[in-house]
Amino acid sequence: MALAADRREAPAPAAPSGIARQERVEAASGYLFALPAALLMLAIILGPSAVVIAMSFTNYELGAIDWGWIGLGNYGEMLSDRTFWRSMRNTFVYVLIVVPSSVLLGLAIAIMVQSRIRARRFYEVAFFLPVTTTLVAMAIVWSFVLHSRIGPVNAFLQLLGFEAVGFFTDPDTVLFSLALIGIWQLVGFNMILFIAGLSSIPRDLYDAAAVDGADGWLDRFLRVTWPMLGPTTMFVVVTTCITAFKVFDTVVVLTDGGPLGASEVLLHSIYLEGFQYFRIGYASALTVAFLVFILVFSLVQAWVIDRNVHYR
Amino acid sequence: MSTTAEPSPLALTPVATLSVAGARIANAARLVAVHALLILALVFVLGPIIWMLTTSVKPANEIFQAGIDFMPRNPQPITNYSDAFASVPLLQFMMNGVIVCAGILVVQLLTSIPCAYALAKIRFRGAPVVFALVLLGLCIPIQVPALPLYLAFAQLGLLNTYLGLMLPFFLSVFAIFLFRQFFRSFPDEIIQAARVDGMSEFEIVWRVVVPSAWPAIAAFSVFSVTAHWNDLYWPLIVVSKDALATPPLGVAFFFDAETGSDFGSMMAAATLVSAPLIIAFLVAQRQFIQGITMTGLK
Amino acid sequence: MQRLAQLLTATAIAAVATATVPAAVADVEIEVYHAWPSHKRFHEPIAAEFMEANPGITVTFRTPGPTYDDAHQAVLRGALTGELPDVFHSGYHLLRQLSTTLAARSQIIALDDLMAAEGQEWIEANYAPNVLNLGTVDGVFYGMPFNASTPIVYYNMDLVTAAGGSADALPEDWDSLIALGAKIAASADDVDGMAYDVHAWPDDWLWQALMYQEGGSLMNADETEVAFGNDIGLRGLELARRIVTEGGMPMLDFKESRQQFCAGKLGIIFSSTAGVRRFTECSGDNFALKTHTFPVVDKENGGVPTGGNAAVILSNDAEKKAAAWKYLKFIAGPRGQEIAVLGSGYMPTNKRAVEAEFLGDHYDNNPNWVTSLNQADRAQKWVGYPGNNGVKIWRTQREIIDAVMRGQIEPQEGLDRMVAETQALLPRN
Repeated sequence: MALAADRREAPAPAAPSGIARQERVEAASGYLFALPAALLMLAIILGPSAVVIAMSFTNYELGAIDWGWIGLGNYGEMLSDRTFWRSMRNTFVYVLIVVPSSVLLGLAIAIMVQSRIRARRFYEVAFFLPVTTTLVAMAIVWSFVLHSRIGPVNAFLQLLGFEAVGFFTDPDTVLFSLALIGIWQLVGFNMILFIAGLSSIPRDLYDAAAVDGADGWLDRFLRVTWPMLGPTTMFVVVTTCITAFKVFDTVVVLTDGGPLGASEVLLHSIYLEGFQYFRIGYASALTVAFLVFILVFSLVQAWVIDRNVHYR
Repeated sequence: MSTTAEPSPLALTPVATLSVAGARIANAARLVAVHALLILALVFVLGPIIWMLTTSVKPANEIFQAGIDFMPRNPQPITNYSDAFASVPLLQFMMNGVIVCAGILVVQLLTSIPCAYALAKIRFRGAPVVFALVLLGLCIPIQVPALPLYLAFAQLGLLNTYLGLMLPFFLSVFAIFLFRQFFRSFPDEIIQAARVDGMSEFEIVWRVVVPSAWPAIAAFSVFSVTAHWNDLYWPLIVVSKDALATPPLGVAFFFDAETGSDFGSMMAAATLVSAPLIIAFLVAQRQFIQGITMTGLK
Repeated sequence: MQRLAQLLTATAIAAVATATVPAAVADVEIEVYHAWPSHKRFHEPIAAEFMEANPGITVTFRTPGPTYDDAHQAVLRGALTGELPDVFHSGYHLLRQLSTTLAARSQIIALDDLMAAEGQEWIEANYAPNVLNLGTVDGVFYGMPFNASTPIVYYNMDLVTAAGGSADALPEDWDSLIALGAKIAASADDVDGMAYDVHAWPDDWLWQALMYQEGGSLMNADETEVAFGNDIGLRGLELARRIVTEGGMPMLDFKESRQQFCAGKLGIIFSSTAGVRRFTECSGDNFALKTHTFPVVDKENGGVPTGGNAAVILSNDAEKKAAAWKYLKFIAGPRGQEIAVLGSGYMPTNKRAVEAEFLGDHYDNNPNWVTSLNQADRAQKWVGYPGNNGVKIWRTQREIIDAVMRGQIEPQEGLDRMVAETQALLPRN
């Protein structure tokens, strides 16, 4: 929120005459310009979100005629609901796999690609390609590539003498397989953000480090690159967290939460409770839980952007 | 190749004790290693896409014949694609995708640009409040207001309409945020001069400020179209007719247990649905990458 | 600015162009909703012929629901939000829940009067009593039976032969089936024995089959309690587990298992007769396909559940109702059934469909299609649970069955949990 207050620009010097009138006109058009957006924002984002919070204290079910306020009843049910805890756990495991892998891989690739000259453009485009693909369509491709029995990856593993892996059918593996798809789509995105960050590191810092006796790439990385990339890294981590936390498409298309509920994630639970079983009140409570986590991530992000801006 | 000329974290520091030739050999070895690693990563990244393309032109009997035979032996460039077109209205889905993405984008620009301008360049008392709302809105993904929106849309008869598909996205708080940042760097002198010339604020926005903001608009457009072309959650909730299904929804519906064993046409359908964005990306790589980078939030 | 203007103009033109595509002019339009996207291949041609014969009526389709259970929930949701289709193909097991819920809201049409108006002679000429019974709930005829199927066994004869089996001696009981599965699994590295995918099935059809084949049932006579909390239920779970441990069944998901069979890497798969057409096509030149009847332990009382769906009318509008009734008569008439049968492998619900003019000698020439008819005398009603939780009950049960089949819990423990958790989701009275 600090963004609003402290970085507004100083008022432009105005002409000495007719100031008051001009300011009135200006202010009026300010309100006029902001009005449609503000109304829409209330109607489609903030208003409904407030309604969700209110509904989470009711036992409303779709079409129900008598319903009432039940206080924290839904939250109580949530805390004792095995499915809820399972989807929380699965969602966090997913995030914990996807975030470090896609961030570190993105960083490594960015460093390698950024120092290329002729091949740089090619690598950037190639690695970025998955970001532009339609995840639902690619999920179907992955379901084939990672088929437990007749997929090419398993054919390859067996050729090397390994057992076939039930990528989407083994409860111990399924989250990793979904995470693999998540990483696949995020790596290029993170790479591009890191390249942008790397390009803004002044070259004389490396020269200075060399004078200080930093030789070898690891030394240079630890002394210059990593500290200078700090804000970028934070930003990438938070963005990736939010994206990973919203995992849904691949679950719906590939596993429907199975096998044995091992890929049941929070958004999928909300979808099932709200739109399949029509338990709006309970689904609202789940949504509030979802919102809380997103808000935490977002606050961290806002703080990062804030710091990021100061840096420049 | 003169990689050392480029300042980079990986570039070699010439070490006095090494002979020039030795440095060259080490340099070449490093170069080979870096490319090898990158190519290995490329196999992971491009593998599924290439697999999709080659399988989409394989005849049915080749698809399972050899588990890891990449290239088709008797390519059939047409069959699987015509099967895919015959079994699902793919063109309809893509047309719907175009309509929905275009509709959303146009309204987003119309609503967010004036608001962003007001926040960046106009002094009015409500500004901090509006901006606070923008920041709050930034944190709320569509899944949060989805339930009440669904109930309201049902009441208003907006389920299974284009408007129902688009309305929740008519305002992009993110666009406001992005454009505000961009407009702030626009010189105040020019705006003042325009005001002195008697231009209305409306004219200033659309005729003075917007033309200079083209990069930001292009960047945002890329972001918006990519997001809404690929969105599954909201269409899944509001649409139950082929006539309105967007590409991901259409493909998801198509992927049932029985048609699912027809991999050739599945891959053809996947290729067709992914093609528009991939081609657009390959044609306008720079704008795409810039767009996604500038709009970092996803 | 100019480029933005161009963009705006271009999109505006595109939007206008699509908006002005003339809508088909028709007197009555009925909207039909069915499950299973692959069923399009017979629904659409039937509707096309119907429209040709009835120029005043246009039939449109909703995007098919992925499964019966998904479609059912979507219709219930539509009932609450005013988004009902005019005709819906309800899975037999959910027909009762659907009609009870919608009848209370006056959103479903009882078809008895419409049937009676056609005359007894017409009814008898077209429909057998046991078929009509499939669409009847507590004495009221709500659903016109459209598809009917029973579970059968599909064999990849190449793999069976390689494992020492033969077409003349296909297994008639579970023990020899499991033994054959084991032999097939042992015959090659990249091949699995058999699949009885009850743990992954989108509805409880194959679970009911395990109960029925021993003469068991789902609920007790007055429908207050779960009836499989007994030896039959226990043996059902033990059998499912044995198929995995002894019969060489891989624990795949619903799609993967079908894909594996089509790829020629799975010896035996249990599935609906509705898949005959699809499996015949996908086996193609790759392997020889043969179907066989479902093994039944209790030859006296044992049976198989009748899968499929009945068409219900959900519109109160007089014109639409009349048009929908015409449509139902056509799709469940001899010509409609001919197309439906040939497009899938379902059994005809109309007596006249087997006449020479329609299916004719199709069954004589296609032995794989006859299997389901051969066990038609064992076909029983595929029933649902009372109350509104049918879909959720199966999601709950399925996960427990899955855990038993994977050996995570013992069959007895699984059965106890199934009974308790099902009972908790039944109406309390």
